[in-house]
Amino acid sequence: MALRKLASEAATGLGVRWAAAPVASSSSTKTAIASVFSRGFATVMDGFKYAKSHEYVNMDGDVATIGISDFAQSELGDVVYVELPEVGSELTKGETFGVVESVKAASDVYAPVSGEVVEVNESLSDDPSKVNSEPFEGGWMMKVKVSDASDADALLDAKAYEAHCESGGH
Amino acid sequence: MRGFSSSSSVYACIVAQTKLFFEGVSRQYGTARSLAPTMNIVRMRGHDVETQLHLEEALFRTTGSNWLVVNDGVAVPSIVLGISGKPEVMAHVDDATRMGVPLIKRFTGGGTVVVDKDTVMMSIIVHGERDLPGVERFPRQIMEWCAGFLSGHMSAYGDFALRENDFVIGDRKIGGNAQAISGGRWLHHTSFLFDYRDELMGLLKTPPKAPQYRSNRSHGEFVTRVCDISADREGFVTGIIESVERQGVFKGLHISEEEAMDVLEKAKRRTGAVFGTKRLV
Repeated sequence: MALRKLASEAATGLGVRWAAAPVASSSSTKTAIASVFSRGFATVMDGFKYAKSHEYVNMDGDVATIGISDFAQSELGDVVYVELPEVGSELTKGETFGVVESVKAASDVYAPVSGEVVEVNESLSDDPSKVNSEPFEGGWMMKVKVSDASDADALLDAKAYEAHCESGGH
Repeated sequence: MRGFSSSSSVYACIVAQTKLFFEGVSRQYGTARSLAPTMNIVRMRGHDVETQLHLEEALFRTTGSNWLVVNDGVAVPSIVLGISGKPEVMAHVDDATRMGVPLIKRFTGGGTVVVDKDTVMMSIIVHGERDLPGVERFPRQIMEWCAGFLSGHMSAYGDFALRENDFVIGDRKIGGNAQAISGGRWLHHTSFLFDYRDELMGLLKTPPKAPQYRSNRSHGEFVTRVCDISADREGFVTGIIESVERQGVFKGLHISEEEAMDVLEKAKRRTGAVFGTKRLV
């Protein structure tokens, strides 16, 4: 974490922002570009959408893959436990769907879209650290069949989310 | 010289102008203080920890207010686990059962502690988004803010600091921390070991993951009792409350235990009320 912070401060001082190599998303054939922003040296995935509360949405048709962003996982610290909803649950946008525990804190996570939970990432019960090591790939939390496609449209794109994090607007 | 005031008139003029200046400052200060968000302060003594945690959860989840709850000792020695703590991993469950020590799971993160009549628990609940927007609602930033307002009081006990995720005096742990973060609100609580009994501490197993600064020390070498530094328990507890009142952001308002418990009773009567704090054994 200390090295990450030092790199962040150096990047900010130099005005550096660069794009990493293209990363294929786990759930579709489209290629999502990962870029790094200076605040906290965190990655955002272009093509994903983000809630101000730091959950991300990766749409594939009417199914949304949902997790927490790289920025959020780095600020929370080592994730030790993730509580997820049952498959078949109906979620309402903006309401809490689960809890992420990181060393000392239990943090509520919020549904960025409304819909039915069609799959949860069972592997997180054995290895919650995936939320830290690969938040956008193996650290995904659940898949939701979205009931209203406009829910995702109302979320922040990568650039807006990046600005939200850098401005401390959370 | 003609037109020049006598010395007594000049003096009177200076006094008058100085008085006006300080009245203006006082009005401005008073106005600023009256606009400061309120921190409701509740001091409890001797409640069982399950009731205390239910109260905190009710204050956190069902009110939009800021609260400081200080529980000066609990009636029944208890083992309290974090939200994901596994009893068989963290405690000698059979021994605890034999000794009549209940195991309670709380709604916040963090590790496993033993609490009893000599544990002083501080819980602070803040609507951070509305009343403390400059403190980011993440664990490290919250702990740093708490350490900041406590440092004036705690420095009287030695070299107080936040180290990794614990409050320490020197290199010894004096308080364990845990938090819950929900939207714009957060709760932070610390259990301070004013004193403790070795036979109760012996009910805890060494956690799978210990802080680095513990450096393989035994429990007795790793933690410190506040009473070994100062026997003035009332001063310790009062100092925590005064620290919050002095930190300059909030205006303290003392609330009776009865008023606070009324919030809990209303929360329990809500349809479908579910508390994360549960007795396990």
